[in-house]
Amino acid sequence: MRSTAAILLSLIIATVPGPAPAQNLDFAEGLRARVVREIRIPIAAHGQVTVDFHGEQSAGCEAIGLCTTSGTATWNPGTQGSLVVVEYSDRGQRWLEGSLAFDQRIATEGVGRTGPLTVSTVGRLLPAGQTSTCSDARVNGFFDVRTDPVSASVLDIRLAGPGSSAPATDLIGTRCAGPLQADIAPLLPVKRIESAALLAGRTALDMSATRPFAVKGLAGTLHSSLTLELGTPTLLGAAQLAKEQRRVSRAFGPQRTVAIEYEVERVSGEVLVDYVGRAEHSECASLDSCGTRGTLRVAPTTTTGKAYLSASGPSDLPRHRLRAALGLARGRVPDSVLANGVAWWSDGIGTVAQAGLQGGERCNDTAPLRADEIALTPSRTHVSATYYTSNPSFDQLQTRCAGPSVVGLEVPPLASARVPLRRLAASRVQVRLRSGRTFTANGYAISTRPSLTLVLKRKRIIDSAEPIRDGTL
Amino acid sequence: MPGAAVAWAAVLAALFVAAAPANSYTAASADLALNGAVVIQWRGDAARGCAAAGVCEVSGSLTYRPGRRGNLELAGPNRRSLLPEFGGLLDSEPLVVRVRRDPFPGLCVDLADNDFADFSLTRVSGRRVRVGLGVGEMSAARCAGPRPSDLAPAMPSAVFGVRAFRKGRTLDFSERSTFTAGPFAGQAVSTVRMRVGRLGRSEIGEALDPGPPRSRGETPPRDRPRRDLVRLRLAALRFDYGMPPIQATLSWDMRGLADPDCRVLDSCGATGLLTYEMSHRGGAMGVVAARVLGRREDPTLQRELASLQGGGRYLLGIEQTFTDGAARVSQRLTPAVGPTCTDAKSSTLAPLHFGGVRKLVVAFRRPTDSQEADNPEDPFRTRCPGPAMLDVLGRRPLARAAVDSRELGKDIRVALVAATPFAAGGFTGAARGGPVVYLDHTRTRLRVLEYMVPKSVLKQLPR
Repeated sequence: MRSTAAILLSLIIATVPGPAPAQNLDFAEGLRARVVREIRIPIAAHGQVTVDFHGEQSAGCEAIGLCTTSGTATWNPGTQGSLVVVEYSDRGQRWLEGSLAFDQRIATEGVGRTGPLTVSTVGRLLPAGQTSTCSDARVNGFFDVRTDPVSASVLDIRLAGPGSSAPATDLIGTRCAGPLQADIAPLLPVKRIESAALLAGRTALDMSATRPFAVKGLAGTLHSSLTLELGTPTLLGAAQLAKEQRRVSRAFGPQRTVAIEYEVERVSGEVLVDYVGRAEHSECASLDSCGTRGTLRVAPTTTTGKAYLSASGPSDLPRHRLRAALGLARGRVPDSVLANGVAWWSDGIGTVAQAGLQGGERCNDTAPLRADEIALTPSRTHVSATYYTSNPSFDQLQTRCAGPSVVGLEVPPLASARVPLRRLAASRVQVRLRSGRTFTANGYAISTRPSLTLVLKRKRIIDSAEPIRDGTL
Repeated sequence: MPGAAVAWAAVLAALFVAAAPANSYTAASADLALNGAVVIQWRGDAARGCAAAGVCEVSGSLTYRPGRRGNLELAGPNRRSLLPEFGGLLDSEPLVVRVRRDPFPGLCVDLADNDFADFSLTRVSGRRVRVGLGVGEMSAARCAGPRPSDLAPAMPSAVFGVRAFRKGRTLDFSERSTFTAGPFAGQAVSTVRMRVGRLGRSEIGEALDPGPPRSRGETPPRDRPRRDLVRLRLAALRFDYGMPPIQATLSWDMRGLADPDCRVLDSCGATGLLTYEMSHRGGAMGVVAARVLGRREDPTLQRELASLQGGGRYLLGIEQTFTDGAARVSQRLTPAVGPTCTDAKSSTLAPLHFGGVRKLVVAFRRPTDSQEADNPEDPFRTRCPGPAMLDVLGRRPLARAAVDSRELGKDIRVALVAATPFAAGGFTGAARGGPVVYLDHTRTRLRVLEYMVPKSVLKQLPR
C-alpha cells in the first residue's frame, strides 16, 4: 500500500541518515536498497483521456441496472508536471522506479485549474423519454510509473496499471455511474522508455489511442489524445542525494527507532455503508442523487500482509522511553517521541457490493477491493485503529453504480477501534473495529455499520539503538 | 496540503498583525465544525437583455461544499466579549460549475479553485459582527454565467453577537438570496451551519510573541569584511526615451477543440473571437549600456556610442514597468447550435515591461502579473463561455520582442509578437495583431562610474 505505509516508511527513513527506500519494498528491504541516482524531468502535457460509455445488453446491463445509462468521463492532466525516476541497487540487482505528478495549480492567476481533473457527465433515460443528468468533477494528481523489474534500464510509463495493488490515482471515477478504472486500465497506452532516453530528455511520448471496450454492463470507447513532452532532465548522483538526505537528517537530529513488526494473519468481516442523497434539491439535482439511497457492503479479506508500530525519537533518549511508546515497557513517553503504525495488505480478495436505488431504478454491482490498510495510531495508553479504505486520490468504494465518494481529507474513517497499547505488545493481537460513523460527505448522508476484525502476529522487534548506517538496520 | 497550510498560516499571521488592536486584549482560537453547502443557480433573464447577449437558453449552477472544518481567531477585552478578527474555512472542495443551454444538448462542467476561503468580517457594533462566507474564485469558471464580482454580494452572511462565538453555539448561514449578473438573474441557497468548538489559545498570537530579549553575550551576526574587493570602472551610456501613448489590440480566433476533447466544456463546433484592447499612457524611459573600462582608459561619448552601435559588448541595465492605462476585453462566441453570446468588460491592464541584459527585452506581461494577489477576476473571462487567461497564455507574456543594443541611441519602433497558438480550456486559437511600441530618443549621456566589487564579479563583465 503506497499511501499510509509509504508515508510511514518515508517518515522513519527520513529520521535517519541513509538512502530513501524503494516505495514498493517492505520495511527491511527498503532500508537495504541503495539509491544509485535520481533523474528529475519536467513535463509539458497536452490532450486528455475521454471514455464514452453506455449500458449494453450484450454486456449484461440488465443484471446491474445500467441499460438506460450513457455518458462520458474525461481526465485532463493539466499542462505541467514532473517525472522523477530513481535507480536503486540491492545485492547486485538494479531497477528503476518512478513517479509522475502533474502540477496542481498556479495560484492567483484567475480562472482555470491547470492541474489534473476528472469530469463526468452521465445521462439516465427516464421512462417518459426525458434524461436525468449526473455531472461531477474532481481534482486528482499523482501517478505511479510502472516499471519493468527485470530490466535495469527500461521504464514503462502508463497512467494506470493492472495488478493487485491499489493504483495511486483514479482517472475516471466520480459520484456518477460509469466504468471502473480497472475496466479501462488495460486500454490505456503504455510508453516504454529507456533510461538513456530519459537522460537525454527533450522527447515527446505520444500516448494517443482509440480503443473500444465492453465490460460488466457497459460498452464504449476510450480515446486518448495525450502527449507528454519530456524536458531537460536534472541528474542527481548518489553523493548529491546523500547530501540532501544528510540535510534532512540534521534537521531532525540523530534519531533512534524502535518498531514492532507484525504479520497480518487475517482481516475479515465487513462494513455496511448506508447512504442517502442529500434532500435539498439544489444540492442533489446536479448529481442526479435526489431520492437515491443504498448500501455498500465493504468486505476486505486477506490472510497475508504486514504491520508495523514504530516510535522514533532523539538518539540520546533512553531506549525504554521509545519502548514505552509501543507498550513494550512502562513509563512516561516524552513529547519528542513520534509514534505511528499501519497494517496493510496487497493480496486481499475483498469486495465492495453496492445495492442502490436511483430515481426508482435499482443498480447492483460489485467491485474488487485491492490493497488496503488499517492505520494504527498510538497515544499514551491506547492505539486507535482506523479503516478508511481509500487514499486521497483513489476511492475504492466505487462500483459502476452512482453513489457517494468517500475520498477526501475530511471524510472520517468507516470503522474504528481503541485498543489498550499493551495489547499490541502481545505475540498475537486481535483488533475488532466496531465503531461506525454518521456523517455527510460529498452530497450524501452516510452512516457506517462496521464489524471488522484484524488479527496480527508479532514477528520481531526492531531496535535500532545506533543511528542506521548505509540504510541497514 | 502542507503548502496551503503554510500559506494559510502566513496569511493569518499577516492579518493578525494588521488586525491586532493596540490596547491589551484577550485572544482565542476556535475550531468550527461545518455542514451544508452553498448552491448558486442562474439563468438568462429576458428582462435583463438575455436575448441581445445570446444567453436566454443558458441555465447553470455552482456548488460550493466547504470543508468540514474552519477556524476563527477571536479577540476582545475579555474572554466573555470575544469577536472574530479573522478566520476561514479549511479544505474546501473545488467548486463544481454546471451550465446547460436548453433545449440544446451538451453540458459545460468545470471546476474553480477554492483552496481556502476566508470570512469577510465587518464590525456592526462593539459587540456584533457581520460574518460572510468569502470565496475567492466563485464564478462560472469557463462556462457561461456570472463573474466573481457578480457573486460576491450573493454570498451568505449573518450578524452575530459575542455570545454566538462560545463553545457549542451554532452559526447559522442558512439563507436564500437573489442576485443579478449582466443578462443573468439567479439565486444563492445556503444550508451552511457551523458549530463553534472549544476555545483554545491563539497560536497565531503566540507565534507573534517576540520571545525573551537577547542576552547580553549574544550579538547579531555581522558580515565579515571582504578582502577580495577590486575597483571597477564602468563607461555607462544612458539613453533617455519618450514613449508616446500606446493603443493596441490583440485578438484570438477561437474554435472548439476536436471531439471528444471539446465535450467537457461544451465547446464542440463553437467558434468565436476574444479581443483584448489596451491603452497605455506612455511615459519616460531610460536604459543604460555599460562596459568595463581599463585602468587608464578615458572614454568619450562619441567613441562609446560608436562602439556600442558597431556591436561592442555592453551590458544593459534596465528594469522598468509601466502600468498606467486601461484595458478592455470583449468576447463573441457562436456555439454549433444556438445564438451567439457576446459580452465585454473592463479588464486588468497588461503591464509593459522593459528589461534584458544583452538585448532590450520589451514585453506586455500577463495582466495578472501586476494584479493584486487576492483579485479573483480572470482578465480574459467574460460572462460568455470561453477559455481563461491561463489557457490562452500559459506562463507566456501577452506579447514580446527583443531589441538589439546596437539600436540604442536612435528612435526605435518595437513590433511585439503575440503569444503562440493555444489549445486548452476547450478551445484552440491563434492570436491576431501585435502591439507596436515607439521609443523616441531624447538624449544620450556618458558617465564613468566606480564601484568596489569582488574579483569574481569583475571577471564576468565585458571589457
